[in-house]
Amino acid sequence: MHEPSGLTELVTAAAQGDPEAWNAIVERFSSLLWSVGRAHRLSMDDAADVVQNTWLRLLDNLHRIEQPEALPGWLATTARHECLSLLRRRGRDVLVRDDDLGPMLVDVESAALDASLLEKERDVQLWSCFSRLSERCQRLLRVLMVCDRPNYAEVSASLGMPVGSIGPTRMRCLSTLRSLVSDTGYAFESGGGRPS
Amino acid sequence: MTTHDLHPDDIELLEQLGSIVAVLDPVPPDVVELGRAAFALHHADTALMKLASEAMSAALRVTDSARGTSRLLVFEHGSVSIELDVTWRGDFGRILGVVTDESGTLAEGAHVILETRSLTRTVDLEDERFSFERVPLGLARIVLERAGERVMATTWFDVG
Repeated sequence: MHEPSGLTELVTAAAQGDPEAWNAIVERFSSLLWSVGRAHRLSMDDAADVVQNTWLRLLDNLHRIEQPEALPGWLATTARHECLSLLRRRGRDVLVRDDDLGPMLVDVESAALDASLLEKERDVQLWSCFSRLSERCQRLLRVLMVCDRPNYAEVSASLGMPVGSIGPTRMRCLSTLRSLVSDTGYAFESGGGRPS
Repeated sequence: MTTHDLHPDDIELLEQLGSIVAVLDPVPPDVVELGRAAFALHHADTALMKLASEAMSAALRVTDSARGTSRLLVFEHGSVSIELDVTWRGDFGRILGVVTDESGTLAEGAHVILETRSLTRTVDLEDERFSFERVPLGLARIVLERAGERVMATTWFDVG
């Protein structure tokens, strides 16, 4: 039996009541929704609420989706709105300055706890450097990590970041990360490792 | 942007970061399972009432007062409309509703169900009106039921 795998087929099948198609959509995009929630600095419980609310919104709109290929962007936008709605209810402010791209101080205890879960010293160093990036950079790279084929519209939708600023911001964030990495003595390019 | 715009070293760097995040902060399995289970809340046979269009959306009002903050929502499907006054203060909200059915066939003997992420409550529709108190903040929807069958449901809306 033919199993739908393309986005158009999956959305059509799910709208017609096929639970397997729905499950495939959930499995494919949960990491994107989770990353949007976590990129907004939500706790695990709140991020879980954002993911679930986004699925409920999608269920309301399944039969109305005319361009299934735009689904990732729609999901990212909806998840972001859910994040902002939740933060508003919590009375929290999420504004981040556009020029806030420089390294920041690390939460030492949190970084140490994270590092204890990583087996490779190289990964520990990379994560330590990532943790020193500005919140804005961490948010952007966090979403870029989970996009199989990242596009500006999707990332913009996830973070509410103007499309035109994503490319330059990404370059500056990666440049800062590379600079931090180079200070550790590790190399992360292909075949990289600790230089002799 | 496509991955072609990224330098191969940057792609690899992001992939390495992604593999680290997969260890440190993976999507919890129960979150994925809840997402799968959400499909059970999808009732394809139930007519979905839509939040009324532009003109009605303009009627949305938000006021701060001693009784809390409120929002007026109007949902419609065919000859049936539901007007909701959603008020919240602190951790709970209140929903007052009026059902208008121009055909006159729905309101007779109908029940109104409130569904949230954590609870389901049912009340009788009395003189086209209903109310729900102490509604938890978050997503909610209203379902109209008659003779044990779900006839119509609003889309999910925010309380709070």
